[in-house]
Amino acid sequence: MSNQKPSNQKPANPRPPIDPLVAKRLQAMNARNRTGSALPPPKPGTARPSAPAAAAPAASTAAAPTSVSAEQAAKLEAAAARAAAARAAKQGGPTVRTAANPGRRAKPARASKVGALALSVATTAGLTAMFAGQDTGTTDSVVLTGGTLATVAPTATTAATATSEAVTTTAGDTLTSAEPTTTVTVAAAPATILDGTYVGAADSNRWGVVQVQAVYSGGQLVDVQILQYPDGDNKSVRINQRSLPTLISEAISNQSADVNTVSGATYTSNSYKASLQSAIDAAKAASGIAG
Amino acid sequence: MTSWWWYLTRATGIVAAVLAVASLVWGLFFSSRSTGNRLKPNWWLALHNYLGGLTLAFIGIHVVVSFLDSDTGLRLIDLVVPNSTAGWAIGWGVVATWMFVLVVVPSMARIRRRLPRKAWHVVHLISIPAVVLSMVHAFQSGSDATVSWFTRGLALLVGLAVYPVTIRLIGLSQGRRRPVTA
Repeated sequence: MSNQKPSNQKPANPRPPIDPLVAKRLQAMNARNRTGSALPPPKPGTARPSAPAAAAPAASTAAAPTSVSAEQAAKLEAAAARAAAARAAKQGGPTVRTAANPGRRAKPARASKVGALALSVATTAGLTAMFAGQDTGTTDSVVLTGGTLATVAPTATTAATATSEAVTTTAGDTLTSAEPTTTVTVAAAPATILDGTYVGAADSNRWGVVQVQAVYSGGQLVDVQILQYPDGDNKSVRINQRSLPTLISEAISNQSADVNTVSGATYTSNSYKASLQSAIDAAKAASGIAG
Repeated sequence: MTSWWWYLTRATGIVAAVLAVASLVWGLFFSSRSTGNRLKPNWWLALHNYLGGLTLAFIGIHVVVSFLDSDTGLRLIDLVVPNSTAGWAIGWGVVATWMFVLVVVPSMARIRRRLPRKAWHVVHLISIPAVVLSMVHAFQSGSDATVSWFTRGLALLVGLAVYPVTIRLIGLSQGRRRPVTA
């Protein structure tokens, strides 16, 4: 039984002593690296094959017919070429191209890469064709479902007009707007917009006409109904189906036509804002609110 | 012709998202040593690198084509600067694109050789939020986001990405808990 105590002290030299034989070998390797020799010096009695042995294997075998066979000489020469190429690559020099190392790099997963590329391109083409097929299909009349909905497009109006019905309020004061068909009753608070539906001006853009009507209740904008929107093709329908509900909910939450432009529906957004603003202006005008 | 740009924009976006998730999954399986014995780690790494590059290529096509499609109303600044005028639905995609550039470019052999491994690894981890943001972008601005097959596909992609992330995190936590045997 050894009576050794565990010591926390580090040894003076943490590195283990190098075996003398290993040290000798390392020295030899360092010497070879300095001289640039790829191979260890030949042992006494053996002949190193002359370069280029690959080009003239018969000559090298002739030089040492007894100790090194042609096959061994070729292998040694290939190893020397590989080592030289590796050294050149490490030093950033040009790649040494030899018969053993023709300059090609290993390309793992080559078949899988080609397959991935082909699959990606084919999927892209397939999806594109599918989307095109969807658009060339039958065009159903699309009903917007954001906010609430105006299914029947009225005749386009070029100016904002208030079309609300008369609403009796506690105040009982009656206001008649400039439009002869419009009669609204003034609410108790004169600064609020009167209840009713106000049609905005139709705003045209390069893709079609956008027209909305604003619905006020209790002095608040409670709904925006789409009377017209660009629906000439499925693409426009899809864009507007996506963008208009966002625009409607944003207008209601902001209580104004100051809404963010929906990406991908810039024209519709701008026309929507213009039409809604005109509807709000009409509502304010009908309610006797300046500005 | 603009309609074809539009179809191509959507198709390349979807394919880029799938490729991004595939590259992430390959990388996570490789880094967690969960690649099995059938295929060499070299194969996994090479394919991971290739899928990353292919993802960036398809993102590039997606961006260029969406710019060429005049109907989208996107300007060059919208595709380079997040939330410039197009809103965050597009902005998340721009952020994700820059993240993918940041992940893929330093991983190129010539650049990676000059980078410290730890720095490269930290930058490479950006790929996870990049994939998340690309999914958000697809869901918010994708024209097909309301279509059931698209939403199901997105959910499947997220599930595919979460699985290897979980394996990797479990592996990391086990590695830290492992007692030191001397």
